[in-house]
Order: sequence, then C-alpha cells, then structure tokens
Amino acid sequence: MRKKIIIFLAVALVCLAVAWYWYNKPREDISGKNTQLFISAALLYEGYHSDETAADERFLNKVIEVKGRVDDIILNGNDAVLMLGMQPGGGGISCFFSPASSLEMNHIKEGMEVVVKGKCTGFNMDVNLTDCIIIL
Amino acid sequence: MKKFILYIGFCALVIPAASAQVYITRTGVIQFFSKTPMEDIKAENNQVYAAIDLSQKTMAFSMLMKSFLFRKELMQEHFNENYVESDRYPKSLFKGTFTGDVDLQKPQIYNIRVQGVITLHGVEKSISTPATLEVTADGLTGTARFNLLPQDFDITIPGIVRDKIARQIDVQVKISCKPVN
Repeated sequence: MRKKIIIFLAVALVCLAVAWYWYNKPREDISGKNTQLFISAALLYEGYHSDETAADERFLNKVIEVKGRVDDIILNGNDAVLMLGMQPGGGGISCFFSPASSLEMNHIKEGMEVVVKGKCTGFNMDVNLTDCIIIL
Repeated sequence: MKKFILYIGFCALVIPAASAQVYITRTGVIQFFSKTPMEDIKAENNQVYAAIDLSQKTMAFSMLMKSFLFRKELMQEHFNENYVESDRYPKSLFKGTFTGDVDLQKPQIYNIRVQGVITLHGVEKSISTPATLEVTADGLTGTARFNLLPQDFDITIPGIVRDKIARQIDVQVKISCKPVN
C-alpha cells in the first residue's frame, strides 16, 4: 500500500513538473525553428498587396526567410524595426528585432541586401514579421 | 517621400483632406498589463500604425493582434487562439478625435482628451481617455493609458485561469510620429 502511494506521488510530481515546464516555457527563439519558406521581399509584399486572403494561407504564422534591401532602421529603446524592401506603392516588410543589438552585431546598415528570418503575423500596410533574426 | 504615399490611403480613412499637419508612424508601441496576486502578464506590440491629423484633430490606429508578443509561449498561444481569436479577427483598430489645443510652434507636452471607437475581437466600443501629445524637434509623440475590460469585447476568460487574469487590463500607448511630406 505504502509503495503504491509513493508511486502515485512520484507520478503526480512528474506530471506537475511537466505542466509547470510547459506553462512557463519562454517563447522559443526563432533560430531553433525550421524555415518553412524562402521568398523575396518584393514577392512577399506583392502577394499580400494583391490578395491578402490567399497570402495569409501561404505565409501567416509561418517561419519565413525574406531577402531584400534594408530601407530603414527605427530604434526604440532595446528594440528595433527594420523596414525591408519598400515598394514603390509605399509598403514593405516590417521586421521586429528584439534586442536591437542583434542588428548592430551584424553591422546592418541602410542600403544593404540582407536575409531576415521571422514569423509572419499578417498584413497591415506592411507585411509584419516578428521574432526576427539576420541570416545573411 | 515615396514610402509615405501608402499612408495617404491610410489617412484617407479618417482624414477627409490630407492636409499638411498629418503625422504618422509604423512603429508605435502598445503594451498591456494584467496584474493579479497569482501572476503578472505583459504583452507588447511594436508594430502599431498610427496617424494624427492636427488640423482636423483626428487620429487612427491599426495593428495586428499576432504582433503582440508575450514572454511565455503558451500565453501568446492562448491569447491568439482562445481570447482575441486572431485568425478570425486579425486586426485591432482605433478611430477617433481629440480635444485640446496643440501649438506646433511651442515644443512642449500638451494634455488632450481622446475619444473614439476601438474595434477588437470584432466588437466596437467607444472609449474616452486623457492623453498627451508632445511637440518635439522632429515630430509628435503621443502617450495614453487606459483600462479595457475583456468582457466588453466578448472575450470570455475560462474559470480555470480566472484568478490569473485581471478584470481590468491596463493598456499603455506610445507613438513617435513624423510629419508626412
């Protein structure tokens, strides 16, 4: 009987520990996630600009790598938004970096061609990517 | 500047004539906080689009719900899937007006009152809040802080997490806008 209680308690403890782990698990670093799609900034923007619903099906919630020109870097405290591949229509790809120092470390400057890896969160004037890192 | 051309379309939503006193940003910050004895939750969206027209005294905000980032992955998942249902309602909007005078010639902080309609989770709700606008060397900086109640937007919090989520969500807004040329 006593043995059963001990086993029961041990199992309960493990379950609790697992639940606690999942509950507190920080948002995963995107570098550990597989890229699901590669695309140029121009094509990604054009996809959303011409048909948002169809583009959402292809890109929304996906981890994508986007190639384009750095058109602007807007610093905000420890964070930064990098505007990638601005189109003549005025929109582009808005890439959120936290911390901003990851841009400095890679010596990212306006005018450079880069590849950004991030998670696509949809379209709102620009295509939005979060959790971004620089690949190239 | 060509990259701002798109904003004219955006501003046209609220601003009948795109006048010379339009200020915009695509990197506004909105944070919200839920504080309970059980848990403190914070989320932040750094990709908030906003336009302020000083001459018409109107403003508009637009943001993607999925761009709200949480420290814990599970919370972000629950927020998107169960609470704001961001697949069905991807955007949140605000359209409104403000009262109070802002003199562009005098760089200082002006206290204003903003009133308008928030659209969130497919529900429209009127709000009115004190806010500030600061005239700076390169534009306008706006701040506001107000409370929102999840139930006002038909967001139901399940009993199991009821004690972990505050009844009132503290929302803080900060935007640094530049003039549209």
